Amino acid sequence: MSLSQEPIPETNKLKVIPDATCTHCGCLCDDLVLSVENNKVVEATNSCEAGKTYFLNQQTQDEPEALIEGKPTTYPEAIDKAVEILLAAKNPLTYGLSETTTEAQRVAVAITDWVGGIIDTTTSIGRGSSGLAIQEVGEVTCSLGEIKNRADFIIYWGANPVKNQPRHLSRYSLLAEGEFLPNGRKDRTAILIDVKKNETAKEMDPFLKVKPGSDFELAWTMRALLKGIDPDPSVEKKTGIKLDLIKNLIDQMKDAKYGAILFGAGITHSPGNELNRESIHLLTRDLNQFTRWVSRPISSQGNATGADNVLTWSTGYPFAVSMGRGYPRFNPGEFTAPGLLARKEVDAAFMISTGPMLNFTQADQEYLKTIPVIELSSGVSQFKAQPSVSLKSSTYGIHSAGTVYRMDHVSLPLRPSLKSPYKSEFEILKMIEEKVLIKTKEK
Amino acid sequence: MSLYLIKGGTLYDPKNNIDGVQEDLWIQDGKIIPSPKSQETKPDKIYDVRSMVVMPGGVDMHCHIAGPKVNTARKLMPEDKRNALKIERTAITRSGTTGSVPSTFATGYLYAGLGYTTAFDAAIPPLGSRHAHEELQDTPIIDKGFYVLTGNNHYIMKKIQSGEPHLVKSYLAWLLHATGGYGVKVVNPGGVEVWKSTGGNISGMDESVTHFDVTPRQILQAISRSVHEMKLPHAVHIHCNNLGIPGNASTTLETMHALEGARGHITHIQFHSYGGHPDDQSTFCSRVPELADYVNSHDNISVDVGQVMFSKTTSMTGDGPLGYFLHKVMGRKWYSGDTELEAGCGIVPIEYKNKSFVHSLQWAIGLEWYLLVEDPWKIAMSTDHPNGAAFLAYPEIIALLMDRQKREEVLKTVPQKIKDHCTLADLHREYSLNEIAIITRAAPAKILGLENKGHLGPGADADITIYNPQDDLQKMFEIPRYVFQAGELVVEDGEIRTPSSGKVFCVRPEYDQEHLKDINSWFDKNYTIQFNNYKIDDAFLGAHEIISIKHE
Repeated sequence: MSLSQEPIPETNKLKVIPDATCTHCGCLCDDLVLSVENNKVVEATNSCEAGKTYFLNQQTQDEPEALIEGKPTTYPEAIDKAVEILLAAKNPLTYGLSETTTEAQRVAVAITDWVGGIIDTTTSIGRGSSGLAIQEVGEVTCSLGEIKNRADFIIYWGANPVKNQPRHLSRYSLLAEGEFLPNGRKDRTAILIDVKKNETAKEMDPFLKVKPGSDFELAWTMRALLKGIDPDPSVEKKTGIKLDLIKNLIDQMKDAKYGAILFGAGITHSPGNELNRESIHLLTRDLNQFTRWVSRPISSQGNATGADNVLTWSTGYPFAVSMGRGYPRFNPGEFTAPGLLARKEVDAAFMISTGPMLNFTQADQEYLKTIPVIELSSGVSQFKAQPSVSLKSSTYGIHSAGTVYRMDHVSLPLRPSLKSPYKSEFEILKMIEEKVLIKTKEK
Repeated sequence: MSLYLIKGGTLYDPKNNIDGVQEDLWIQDGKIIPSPKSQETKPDKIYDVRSMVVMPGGVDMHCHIAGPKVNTARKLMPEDKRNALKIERTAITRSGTTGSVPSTFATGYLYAGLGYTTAFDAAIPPLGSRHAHEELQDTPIIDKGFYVLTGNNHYIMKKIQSGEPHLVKSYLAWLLHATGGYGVKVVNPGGVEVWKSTGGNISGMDESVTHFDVTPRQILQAISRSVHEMKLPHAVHIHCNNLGIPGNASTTLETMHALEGARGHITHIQFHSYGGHPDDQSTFCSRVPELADYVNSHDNISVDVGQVMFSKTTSMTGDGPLGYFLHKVMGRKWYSGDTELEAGCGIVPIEYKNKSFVHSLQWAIGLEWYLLVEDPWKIAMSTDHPNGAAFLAYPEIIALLMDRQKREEVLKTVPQKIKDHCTLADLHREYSLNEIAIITRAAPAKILGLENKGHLGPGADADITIYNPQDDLQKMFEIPRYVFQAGELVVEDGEIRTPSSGKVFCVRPEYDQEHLKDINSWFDKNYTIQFNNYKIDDAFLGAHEIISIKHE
């Protein structure tokens, strides 16, 4: 494993870093130009407002590099303790990985493999459903550049890119000038399907308001119409959309040259999400009997896509993997972190760059207070109780190099701009892995 | 570094004209060295391999083992893995899963376990090259590399259209630098673009590609000419138009003609050797004899086979419209991925059954190729892993080639009418160990232009596979006694001894830096990542070897 990194400037003079990648959302815009002075980003051009705030507000932190039971200590001491916990556990859980580099994710999988634990990522809820839909029916999709260059018809479904992925429209989709769509917006038809008229609606041709919890029925109705089957009229009441409107939409969709359904959290984070997503995959597949259509999710956080890829190439499965028997087994539900904790099936937790743990129930959180927890993170602690070991890392993309995967599974390099007193997650995990290997040999 | 002696083995080293001769081999610093002149020289370790068969490490020149397509296939098929061979963690090796698309660590261990020490991924989309390198870094032991997909690239088609072949050449050279690739691959030239633009495909070499006033013939010729002029170690690697379609042998023959004497490697040619009519399955037949005649009489062409074996596997291809075609045939789940820097991808689960007339004929057609190409230096063993079968099928294929009896036994189990649709039943040829050494190591190394692979002469990389002779040829090749990679003992009786990491092969042809501006501005205008973030730098590549280009 190798990390290429241009040296971060030693001087306090103004330095300009072009082609910097922003990890603030899954768009991973890699065209930022950062001006750095006195180890602070003073300007971030090309960035959206959220990205700008992210870069300009990086604080120089003054916290201990590590804590054991809340008491300041050094990395080596804390790492010894962490290794002790991991090796003493019968069934340790590694969880998180969305807010770090691919390189760190690779080491996290290795450690879990050596200690025979369970590994799960933030994809296990929400985007994890994507994995299940792909396993059921496959997927017809494309890279963001193909949408830019070809998509003359775009449906944003349960998505609000204007708010959540601000540069998606201008860089990758609706507003972008494409190879075969030289006039950008004018050459495209765009529709929003959502439960409410969100900020993206004003950019659209029509907006279709769908009743909450009826995306599946809408997609299935569209599939029926494509196959020439008359849907039951009750779908009007269920979805809140007139059948004539749906028929008209389907006719338009059949006339597109290259259509794209870009779906967001409204699909992937709502009840029955895997079936929602499956229905969109099937609709897309069916549309290809008439013309070209693709679909892809639009929402993803940081490097969750990287975690998805790393777990898949090293274990064969994208999330919810147990190495407890000495080889990888996959079972969503059984090996996904939230349920595992509530059922009290793990006896230690290694929480790495988890981001906010919104998917965790009260029962999960309560159980975490009762087992040894090792937290490795560049941000604030996500835990109510004091973790047994806290390891503070530098921030990926700000201080540390590596690669990250964009929402369309394209690997991009990071160009760190600031110096940090902390080690990167990759460096800390590497130290842990080395120690684990030494200790297991001693055994 | 240590000095090893491999003593008294029976060597099969076709490149050095050694066919079953008892000889010692000396290894130092990862290389094979001449036998020391002094009788006094004491090796640090002696491996006594008297009565054993010694060959160079195997070289797989066409497989799918890394990158976005392979990883999606892994994700797509959990049902393929649950009951398959498990790769358990040991004190020194990682765990993994298998099925038709093994995880990265499993891939490295399994290849090494078979005595293969080098493997090339045959189809990396330019947009996925960084991803591919990340996977290759996690694929242990074997040396590796990849070919970059180019046959539907818009810049290339534009420059053919505008009559600027020098820019086609510079673009290909730049692309190899930027991606850390080893070779140039053409997949269904023009056809993938037609799929993206219309949902159709291209069927003839002189049809025009949508949006671009160029033909598959022009694309192939412009790229093969550029590869020839750049003097790349490996010729253009060609997946012809019309893969899998009855009657496609005519397209394959036309493709060979279109090279006009320039070097070209036609890959998984089994899938391109069919006669009959696309609409009438009963007419499906082999046209290997006439294609093999062409290969036998033309030294510019090499092939690998893409052997089909009866098993469950995964079809994965850069040929997007082929993926859709297979989905319609199979009716099962289907993945399709279109990418900028223009490549396609299709993935479909597939099962080859010996009860099927078509599948049995495909199996027979692959074997016909091995048996009808007279000069084994022109043909490399492949299953197009995992398309025809997983690479784990190689020992079984070796047994079929060396033992006519074994072929006849299988022939008894398939629909008998295939005998009227191919010549396999009449082919009596049996491969010798020397010929096996050619098609599994020496020839692919030669076709790839890798001078330090595929042989056991001084200066070669010390990649050595040692087998215990057995009556059961399949068993003999399944579990080598010893495997050395870069001079280290990596496998002993199927167990990994040294989980080394191997290296990546790259080429860096020269090109006119003035042309970079045009490429850069095209890239900025049409793609969604920054030009400077696209290029992969040497530090990221990790252990790599740049194969020099010979300008004699």
